[in-house]
Amino acid sequence: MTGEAPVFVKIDGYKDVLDVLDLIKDRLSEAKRTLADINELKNDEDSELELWSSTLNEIEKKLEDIDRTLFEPESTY
Amino acid sequence: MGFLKFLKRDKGKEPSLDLENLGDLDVPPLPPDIGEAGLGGGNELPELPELPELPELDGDDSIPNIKEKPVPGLDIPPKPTPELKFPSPKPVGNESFPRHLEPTVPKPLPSMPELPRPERIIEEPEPIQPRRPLFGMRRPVPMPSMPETQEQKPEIHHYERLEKAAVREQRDVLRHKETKGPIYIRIERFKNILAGAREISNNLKTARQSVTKMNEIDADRDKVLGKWHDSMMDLQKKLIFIDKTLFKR
Repeated sequence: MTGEAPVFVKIDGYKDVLDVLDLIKDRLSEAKRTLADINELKNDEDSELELWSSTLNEIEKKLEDIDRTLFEPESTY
Repeated sequence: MGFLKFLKRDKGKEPSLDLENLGDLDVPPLPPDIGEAGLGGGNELPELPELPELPELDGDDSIPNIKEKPVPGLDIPPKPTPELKFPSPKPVGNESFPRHLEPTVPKPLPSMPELPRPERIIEEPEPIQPRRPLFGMRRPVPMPSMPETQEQKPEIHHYERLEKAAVREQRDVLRHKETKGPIYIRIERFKNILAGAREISNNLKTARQSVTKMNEIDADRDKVLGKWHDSMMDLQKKLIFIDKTLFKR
């Protein structure tokens, strides 16, 4: 429709809108930084969980050794 | 070395290859054209006829005079051979280099009399007045537009391009901020802004749900960690008990 005249919309608080947009941009960059921090914390948590898992496996092995040592029937009475 | 006897020749068993005993061998039959006479077993060759005697040559071993036979219809007039005239050789005497090749010493030129200097008065040239056109002023003829030579622009770095775009955008924003009075925007752009705002709101809702879910996960993790801590404490107590029971004196 090239023959139609262009229609415009009046914006009252144009300057306020621009200010709010600046604030939104700041909040967005802050949210990005927070997400990066959360990712870093998650990586630390994963490594800690892995360490705990290996420790538990080691404890399990030791317990099995102790169990075998204590309850194995010996013929040296 | 008796066991190598089988390698020795037994002359009694070998066939004799002499010409006398050639008939004993297995020879293929002769072709029918050649009988036994063809092999030379019959007569001798016939005598050759005597050759005619050749005339004796002169002692100079030159070719004898042979008269050419005239060819009918081929009369070629004999070409007169032009007499060649050679220049008589010049007598060789006391010759030297030509004169134009000899080095010459330039003779001193006679001194010229000094000319009297003319007294000249340099006058200022009259300003050239533009010639008056005969039939009114002529409009300058526009030169045909020449195609602009494409200059090789230096390759703009990506960062510079980004910087320019940012500066331009910021200038536009500042220009809009300084405007006074009512501001209008095209309705198509307004619709685009509304759609963008709606999309942002949906994304924010999704982000809020994600935060809620993460909070729930965090609470569950705290519970599990507490349970795990309790079990570890119980395990430690039991280990201490075992240690005391086994190693008490």
